[in-house]
Amino acid sequence: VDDLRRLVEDGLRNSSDEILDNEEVLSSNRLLEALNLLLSIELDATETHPPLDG
Amino acid sequence: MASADLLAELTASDAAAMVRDGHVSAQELVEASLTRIRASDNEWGAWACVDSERAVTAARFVDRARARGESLGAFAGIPLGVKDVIDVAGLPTKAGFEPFASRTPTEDAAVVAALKREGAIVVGKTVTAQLAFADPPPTVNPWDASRSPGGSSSGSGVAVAARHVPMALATQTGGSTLRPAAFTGCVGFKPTYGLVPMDGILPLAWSLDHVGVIARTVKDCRLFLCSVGVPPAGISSAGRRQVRLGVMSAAMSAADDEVRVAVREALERLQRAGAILTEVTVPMSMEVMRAIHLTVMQSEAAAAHLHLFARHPESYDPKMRALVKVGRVIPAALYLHARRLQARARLQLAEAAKEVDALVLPTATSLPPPRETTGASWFQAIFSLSGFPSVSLPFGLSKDGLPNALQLAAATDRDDHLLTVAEWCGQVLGGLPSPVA
Repeated sequence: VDDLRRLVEDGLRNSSDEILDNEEVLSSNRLLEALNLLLSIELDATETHPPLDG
Repeated sequence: MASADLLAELTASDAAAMVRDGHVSAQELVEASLTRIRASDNEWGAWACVDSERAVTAARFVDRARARGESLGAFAGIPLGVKDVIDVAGLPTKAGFEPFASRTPTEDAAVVAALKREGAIVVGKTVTAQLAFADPPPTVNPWDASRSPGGSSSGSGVAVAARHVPMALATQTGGSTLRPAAFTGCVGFKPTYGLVPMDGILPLAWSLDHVGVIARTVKDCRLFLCSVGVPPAGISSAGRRQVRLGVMSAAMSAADDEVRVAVREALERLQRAGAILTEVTVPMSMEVMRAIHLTVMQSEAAAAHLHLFARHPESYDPKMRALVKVGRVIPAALYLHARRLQARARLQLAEAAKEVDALVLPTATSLPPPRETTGASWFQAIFSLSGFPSVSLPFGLSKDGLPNALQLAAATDRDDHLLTVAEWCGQVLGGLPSPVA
């Protein structure tokens, strides 16, 4: 989970030279907030399967 | 011949009945619609393009069919607006995106084809926020020109509110049908995920994208549902006994004070008319649902725009560009974790909806905001995430003369039942007058 968080943070940091406007900063911050919330929830292995067919 | 203004006040159901009975011709209806668009769209900016010539030709075709004694469809002669991310053969689908300026499909989207088969007449394409996301288009809210009409189906909401057309197609990935309906004082309806096919519609995020409709009455939304191939479920039990409404207390707490007070008053009116209100809580917080929705939408939008963004990065508006760029750094494991949580959210919402006829909450957190934004989507996005059918109902005006709205939702595939409940609520709460004289 920590690795996943670092991967996203690194991804955002590596694209930071391209992140020029306020909307991109806001969008990145919203993703980091979402990431922390989602990674704090542990699903049971059999609880749900991702509905890959939509 | 009735005046354009009188014809413009007809709902889609009433106008179609008048065409079938010969009280008005399809051509009169379409020409009245075109007259009103010409007279006021410079002010409102609801239309991306208008197809006068073919609309009048199609109307004459309906009138000739009637003269021959042929049976007419449910939408015979009804002028229809189509959001400019939905394909109409022969008209460009520009989506507010410059590289699509000459992207002209040769086939109708499935939903357009279905409505045309029922006699609907496309008068043009309505303005959308770029690529059906959140960058505000130049469209103006007829209730207050300084306020947003919502988005992304901004033009569809305004075209119906301004009485240009009685009905317009929309889409919803977050809140793009219900929020513009709420902010313009119209009825918005988003059917169950997948019930109306997305064929021929530009995607934003596949597992959240829905077709929706904006109209003036719930009855017209039901007619829409029938016309796209979903038969009515028969007499719903909600029409025969007291309606049970599950008030989503977390949303009530999170709404602006003015919205919460207005919705609470509307709920009290429904209660006095016989509704049974119960407080409903969902174990998953609204913040988590919002986080799931955002993660899924960012990931899928980044994939949907992978090559287009590489070719035309400079053509993207700021919010849309940010959505795509940030979505590209989300790992597959996180996206799939969000998709699993989406399934959990759906189950928890279904459990909450089980004991009631409909869940109820404000449509939006706020009244129409200033035009720098199209407003917040998270109250509507709960049901884009779950795929549940949802309706926005207008009810009266705020102290500043802006439309109030509440949202009703039911579990997957209970569309017809939801519309029955919404119709009853709409009768109790009453509609809104036209915002334009």
